Amino acid sequence: MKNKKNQKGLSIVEAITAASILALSIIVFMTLQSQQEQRFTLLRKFDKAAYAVDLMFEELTAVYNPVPIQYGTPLVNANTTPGNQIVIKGLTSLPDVGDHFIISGVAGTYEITSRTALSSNTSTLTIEREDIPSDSVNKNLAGSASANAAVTFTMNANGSLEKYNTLDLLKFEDTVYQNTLATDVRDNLIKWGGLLNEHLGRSLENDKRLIEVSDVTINIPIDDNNDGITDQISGVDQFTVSTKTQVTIRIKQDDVEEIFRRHFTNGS
Amino acid sequence: MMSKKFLEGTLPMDLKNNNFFQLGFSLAEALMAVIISTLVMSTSYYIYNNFQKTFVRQINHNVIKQEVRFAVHNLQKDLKVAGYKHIDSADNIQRAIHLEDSDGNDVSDNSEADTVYACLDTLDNSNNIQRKIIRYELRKEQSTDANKTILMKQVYNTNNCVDSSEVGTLTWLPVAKHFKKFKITKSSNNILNFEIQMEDPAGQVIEKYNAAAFMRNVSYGTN
Repeated sequence: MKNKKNQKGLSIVEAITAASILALSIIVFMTLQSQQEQRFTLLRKFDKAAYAVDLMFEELTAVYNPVPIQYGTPLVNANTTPGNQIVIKGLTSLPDVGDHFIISGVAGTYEITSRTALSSNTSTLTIEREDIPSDSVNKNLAGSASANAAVTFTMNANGSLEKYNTLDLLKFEDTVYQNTLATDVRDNLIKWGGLLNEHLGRSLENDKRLIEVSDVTINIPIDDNNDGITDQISGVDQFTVSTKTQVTIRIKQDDVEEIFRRHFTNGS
Repeated sequence: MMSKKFLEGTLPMDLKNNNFFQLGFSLAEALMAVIISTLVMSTSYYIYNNFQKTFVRQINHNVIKQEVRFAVHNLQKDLKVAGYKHIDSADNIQRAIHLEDSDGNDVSDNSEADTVYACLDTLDNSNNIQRKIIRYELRKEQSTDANKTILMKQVYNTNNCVDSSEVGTLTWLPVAKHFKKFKITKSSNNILNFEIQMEDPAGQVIEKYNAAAFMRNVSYGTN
């Protein structure tokens, strides 16, 4: 009884509880601060990566050729029945494999899969129709092409951004992956991948550094009279459709994912 | 001891008990209290100090961010249009872009330069065509500055894209502070790559940035 009456300090349980609460609040504070520090570091990395992404867009602008080269005044050499080859004349230089073209009077867009050397401004092109599903059985000319029909190149393989589609920048050191790419794409992969690696650090599992290229159509309101209001015909708003090449660069690091986009105007 | 002696014989046994007269802390208790409060205080200070450091670091980083954003914006705005020739201009642009090292020697493609000169046509306030050179390089804000350099630019009239056609000393305009390094490289496909190192105001953090400017006019040959 005497001992209990005279107990003026804290019991062990009270002391331990107090110490635990103190320790807990310290741990909470430290954890919060550590998390804040980590987020801050990650945002700093993304901030620098954003400049690297801008650099990539600028370099893609240099790659991109919005006005396809026509290689002279290309014409169909002679009447040609549907098949996978066509002879083109009027060429001042040799078109590239991967170039796309259309033929006046023949439906479809065609991609060059191989070609013969230029001889007297003429080359025989082996082609595949490009605007139909890739698993189509018949990719030959959709119809007969007349002699002297105009041939118009709509896309040059060299000025196209298509070859950058699905470029995985995480694989910048993977020589097997590099060997599957065209030389210029490979050079850029090494440069850009290295740059992102420098700014973002080593990637972890599930991280992403990916380029995607696609065509997007955008409805642009028509305002010919410049009154700030979309022109109408019979009460219906009028739009013009514009196709643009859209390049998306996705970067995912830890649990933060940023998407950067730029549009490249087609045919301007 | 005095009080104990004084009370001896006058108080009942209960009250003579040592514990009953313990009004202050024992030495052990006091020491424990001091140790615990020291621990608590130092932990609190450590946490506060860390928060404070993080806060200051974030502010300093924001300063760097602002400066580099402004610098890159200016560099891209001016250098992307290098080689722009006004449609009514009689002469072609003689030297759209020119790079030099710190000794004033010409720098070839894919090598690092310290100074960049861009030449282009502009319109003055009276809509007259005026050919100008825009020059960028790192300079000391004051001659007494030992390490601190800032990005500066000069804009001046020219007739031949090489020499100034202005009379008097050309003015340097400050663009952005806290630059530690600024290197420019031109590639053969008319891209200028900038390698920038920024140092925070406290001089503790150095951040590296890479940016680029594609010179459309030079590339598409509007000369």
